[in-house]
Amino acid sequence: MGILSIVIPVSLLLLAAGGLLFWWTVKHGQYDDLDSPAHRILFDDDDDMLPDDIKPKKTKNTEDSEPTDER
Amino acid sequence: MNTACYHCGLPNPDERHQLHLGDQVVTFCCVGCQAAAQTIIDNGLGDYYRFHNPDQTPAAPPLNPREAETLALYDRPDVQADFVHRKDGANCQATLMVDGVSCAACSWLIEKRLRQLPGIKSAHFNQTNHRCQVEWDSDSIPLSRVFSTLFAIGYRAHPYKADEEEAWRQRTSRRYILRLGIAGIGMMQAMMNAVALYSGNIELQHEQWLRWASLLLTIPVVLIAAGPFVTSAWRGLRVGHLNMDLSVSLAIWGAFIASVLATVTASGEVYFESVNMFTFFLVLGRFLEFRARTSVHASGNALLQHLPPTCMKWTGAGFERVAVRDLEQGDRIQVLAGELCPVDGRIVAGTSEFDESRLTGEFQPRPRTLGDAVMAGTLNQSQPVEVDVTHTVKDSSVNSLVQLLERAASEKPRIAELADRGSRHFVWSTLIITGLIGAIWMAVEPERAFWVVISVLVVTCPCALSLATPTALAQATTTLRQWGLVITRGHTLGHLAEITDLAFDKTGTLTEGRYRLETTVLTPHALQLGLSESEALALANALESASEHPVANAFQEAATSSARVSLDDIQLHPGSGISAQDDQGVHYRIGTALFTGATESDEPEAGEQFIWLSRDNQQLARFSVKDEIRSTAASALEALASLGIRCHILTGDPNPARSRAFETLPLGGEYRHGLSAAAKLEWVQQREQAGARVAVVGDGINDAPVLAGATVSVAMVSGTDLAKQAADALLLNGNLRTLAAAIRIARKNRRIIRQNLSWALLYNGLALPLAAMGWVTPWQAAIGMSLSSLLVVGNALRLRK
Repeated sequence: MGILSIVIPVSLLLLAAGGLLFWWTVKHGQYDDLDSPAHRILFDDDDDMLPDDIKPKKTKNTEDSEPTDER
Repeated sequence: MNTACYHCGLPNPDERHQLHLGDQVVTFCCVGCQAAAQTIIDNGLGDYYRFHNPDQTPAAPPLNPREAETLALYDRPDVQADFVHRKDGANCQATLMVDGVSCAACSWLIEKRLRQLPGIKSAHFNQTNHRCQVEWDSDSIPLSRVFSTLFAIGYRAHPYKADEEEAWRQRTSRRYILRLGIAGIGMMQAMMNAVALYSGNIELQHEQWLRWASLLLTIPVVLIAAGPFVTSAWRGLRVGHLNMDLSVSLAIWGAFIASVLATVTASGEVYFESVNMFTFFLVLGRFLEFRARTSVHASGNALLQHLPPTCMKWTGAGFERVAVRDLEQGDRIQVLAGELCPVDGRIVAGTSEFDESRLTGEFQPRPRTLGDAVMAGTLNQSQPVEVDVTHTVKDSSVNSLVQLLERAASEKPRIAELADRGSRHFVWSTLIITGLIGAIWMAVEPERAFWVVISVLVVTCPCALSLATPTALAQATTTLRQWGLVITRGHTLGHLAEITDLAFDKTGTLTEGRYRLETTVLTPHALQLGLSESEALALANALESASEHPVANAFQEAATSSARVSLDDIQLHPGSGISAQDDQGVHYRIGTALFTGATESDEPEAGEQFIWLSRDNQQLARFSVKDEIRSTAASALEALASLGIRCHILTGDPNPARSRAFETLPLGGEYRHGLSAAAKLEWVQQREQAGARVAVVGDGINDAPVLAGATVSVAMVSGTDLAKQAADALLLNGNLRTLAAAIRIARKNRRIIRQNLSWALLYNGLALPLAAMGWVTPWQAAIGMSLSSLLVVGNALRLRK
């Protein structure tokens, strides 16, 4: 059980690091807007950001009623 | 067929405005919506319509050239100085307030559209407070372009600068989040340690390590997260006022110190996880309440946005544009048609009509001629006039209204912290009883005394009591916001439950505040000429397009044919109408019966207005325009009546006759007309003295004093900023039925607060004797306290429906 003497201080250190990072994010206004990000993620407008090799497949999938026709 | 407007969702009976989307035809209620949708789709942002949630508020009509010129003012460095932050070189940053946002899709659209513009570095729209932070390169894009882009997609934007209250709100919000985070991290970790501790199968040495670890991680929690409770309790003590925070901090610090002692002496029990959990729930409750209470996107703007920043001043040789704040008494300025008069003054040249709706709430323009006084904030509607400045910006009438408002607001009862007041006695008794119990135990069994005292403190800890009110308030506030009513002051809900009377302003509140074309009657002469209804409307629109009169909007919306009639020599005749001639020299006139040479046969009903169109003094058509009653007015009044509330109408409209439409409204109370702002306030105060509790619903600057003076006031979000700032609540969607729902929720909220308070008192009353007998160990007390809090929070969640 000697491991506890390492694990407990490590957990405290990690907590302290996490706490400091949290303080930094709050200070830099990352929590000022708590509503928009929740909605923003629902918008499927990232078609232009998809890599080219995935793009055609994805549009086929959404537009064709039977995507397996291709094969 | 009755379809809804594609853009705003309003019922759309005549389907005049259409767009083709691929093979699909969509219809709009007005030109504003159509133009906005056109711009949105042309810019490849049609996805907006997949997600948007129409709010039944039509988009404003497209910018006319005059408005575009006003927007160009935002490019002037002296105007920008107020709100633009220059980072380095051409890099600029500013925050804009955006009106007309209804849903999450709007924020997506705004950001997307702005980022499409070249020179825009970043655009972040905040859904909570409707502010948009824009960063741009002033070398490649003028700021006015940002404004006109937002206008083109149907939003109204204003510059924004935080006032002190707003800055405070942001600081407090960040502090709450920090406290919440720290208490949350501490709580999770302390609970993990507690699991190990309570498992029982643990060596004494390891137990001590875990206790010390818990102690260390609890220190930031009690210092940072629970610190403000102590500060508040201390501040209360200094002014001889015992508040809830005193017992909260005693319990937190008592349990913490006892646990520290137990850790140091390696004996007894530790309650670090209870301390953390207690702090976390308390901060959470307070934060939710704070957030629900202060999320107002309409207030907090330090800029007086309804005054133009510059005007034309006579310099001896000509007119020159100067900043309004540089004007002095005696200066002569020119106010063009369509401009707001920036100062109080006297007309020295010219004759025009002024729209004083911002001050009086009435949309009928008043004729003003040589020697007449004009007021700041009124809109010049027809001809340019020259005005001698009598009062400068500082003491103009807009500002004196602000003063009137401040006075009325100061007469308002302070926020009644009902639970806090009640708990003062509770705190006293808890402390005294705990002291007594401690003393008795010291005499009987000194070695157990300390832990019994801690048990008693934890068990009687007013956790549930202090959560009872705020959680219910927060939940009710959130529910109301989903309905479209934003509560802006702490006492609003409490007072809303006591309301007996509800007074409506008429224009802009019960009615929509914009004119709409009702009927078009063609004369036999017009039929002889083979003139169709739509041709008559196109003619009328061509004539009215020169005017800024609100009636002109009715024609702009109604005119369907896009064929423009070209007219020359358009002249505005204030108080009468407009005349013009076409290229064949035919004279057209539109306006009052007298002006167009018509003989009146029918009397228009109140609220309705006849407008005649004539050709070479022969009448062609009679239009009747009307300011429409909101579609929800009748059902809202019925719902309010079923809640036992008397409804009244207070209007500044001097017309004594109630229109037929108003007679059909199920109005339980009085109909008062021709009331000034002061008279409305007096009427409300008389009622209040007679024992009634009056809520007022209004929108204009003139409503601001009565809004500030009433028990509860609700402003329409389309109203003026002044009214919105004076109000206790904002109605976002123009749906008057929300008012009835709000009162129902407020009453339910009051009931739930009472249940919560009685439960908390009952629990404390039952647990106290048990703890005093020494039958409750501190951990049992902590569980009891948490369960009691959860019950209270759960009860408050019932307000969600």
